[in-house]
Amino acid sequence: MTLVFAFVFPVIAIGCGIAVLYSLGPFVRDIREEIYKRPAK
Amino acid sequence: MALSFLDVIVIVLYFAFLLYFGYLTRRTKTFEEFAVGKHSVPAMMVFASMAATIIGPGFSVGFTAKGWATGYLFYYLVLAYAVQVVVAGLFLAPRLSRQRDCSSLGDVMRKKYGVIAQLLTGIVSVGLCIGFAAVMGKVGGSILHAITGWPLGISLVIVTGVTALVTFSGGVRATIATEGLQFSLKSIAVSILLLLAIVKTPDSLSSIAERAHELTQQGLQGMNGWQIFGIVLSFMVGEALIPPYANRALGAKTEIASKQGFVAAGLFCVVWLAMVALLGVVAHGLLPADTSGDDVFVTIAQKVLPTGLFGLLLAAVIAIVMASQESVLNSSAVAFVRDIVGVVHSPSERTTLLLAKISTLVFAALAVYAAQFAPSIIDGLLVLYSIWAPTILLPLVLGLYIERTKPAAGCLSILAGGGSSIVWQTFLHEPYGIPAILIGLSASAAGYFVGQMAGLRLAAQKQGALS
Repeated sequence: MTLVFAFVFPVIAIGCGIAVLYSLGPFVRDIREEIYKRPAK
Repeated sequence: MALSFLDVIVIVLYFAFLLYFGYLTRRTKTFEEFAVGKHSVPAMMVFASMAATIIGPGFSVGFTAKGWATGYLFYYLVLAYAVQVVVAGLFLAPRLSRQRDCSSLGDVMRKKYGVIAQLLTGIVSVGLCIGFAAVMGKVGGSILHAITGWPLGISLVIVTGVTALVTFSGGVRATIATEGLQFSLKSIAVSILLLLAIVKTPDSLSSIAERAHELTQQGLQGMNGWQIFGIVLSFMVGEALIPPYANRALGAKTEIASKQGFVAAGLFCVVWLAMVALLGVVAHGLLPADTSGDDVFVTIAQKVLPTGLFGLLLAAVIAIVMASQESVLNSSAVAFVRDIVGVVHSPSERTTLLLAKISTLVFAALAVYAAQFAPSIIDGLLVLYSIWAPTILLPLVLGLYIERTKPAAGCLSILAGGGSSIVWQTFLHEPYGIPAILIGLSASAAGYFVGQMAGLRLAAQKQGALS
């Protein structure tokens, strides 16, 4: 169990951190686009 | 604590980037956008935001202290919390997401039990969120004080003030975006810390496992059955669907996104808590035996991390506090505007949004003031848990499943549950060691049953009189 806690879990956590960083770009871009979206004519 | 120039630079850069990030996502045009982000949050961001909020100082610095003292004991007990998040994700969050016309928990309660239940939910939510913000702020201030040596009061104002600044104008989506960033930072930084600690400790992995077993056994011997039951119950239900979590479910893009985000956050707890508990056990091979439990996290980081990376870890620790604080401050403002002000007065859209932004700042100031009187992190959280679950949780969960709910059931459940829990804890000091949360939940269930029966009987009598 300690082996899993020591080596497998940190790899999973780093993977989650990178995956979220990767998704953050499109999420912020969507917010930015909405903020500066011009009203339809 | 002596910091190198590079560490200071890293911390300053982190704060500057965070403020820039808040600036990027700062503008909101409607209250719905502020409160639930137009119901447009994808699963990955629900996950990141939930996980960032859950992993507060208690589940990081506090949990390493528990690992240092009692091995994996608290890890096993607090797995109940992970189970709760997964269960909420499977059965409750999708049902909350279905309420597309609701911006707050109070809105959901109003739909089920009427306007008085909404008001009561609003009052409990605001009080609870300010309490959480105060407890988190105190920990964050203490950490900054320990790092920089600045006066505690100023450290407290800086941590809570920066949090309020990045939160107040952007609403829930800006909060979720900064939480995503903070989640990435802390999950990567703490994982590297654990790996380096294991590499640098003179102990072998088998001796670490042996020590963990010994510490767990010793910890178990020091607790009685009621204590274990009370801790498991508190973590199982105490934080279930508190306003920040409910707002993530309400803000999710779809029911599936809500379910996936919650379940992933629950599973991540299993991973994270094991890592920080193990860090406490590994620390025995690197730190003197008389090190205070609360200092283990930062001290071991200082010992094993190179310059610059240590600054990044300290930034991550501050991120841990701020991510939790952001969520509760945003939720307190939403609950205040929607469930308290909205019940007695219906201001215009523009005024509502302005009020929400201003109240975020006001509640942050209140949290700074209240932080001076806040108890320690775990004590503070347990007190707040024993108020939330007995008041709101039961009527909320039942309301999501029962079609014909009666207003009296919701109101009686909130009042009976909250009242009995406070009396049992504050005035009677938990006789026989029976936890207040258990008494409160029982009273809440009894209040709900009586109210529902009375409501159904009244409805039957009215129908009889009409026919």
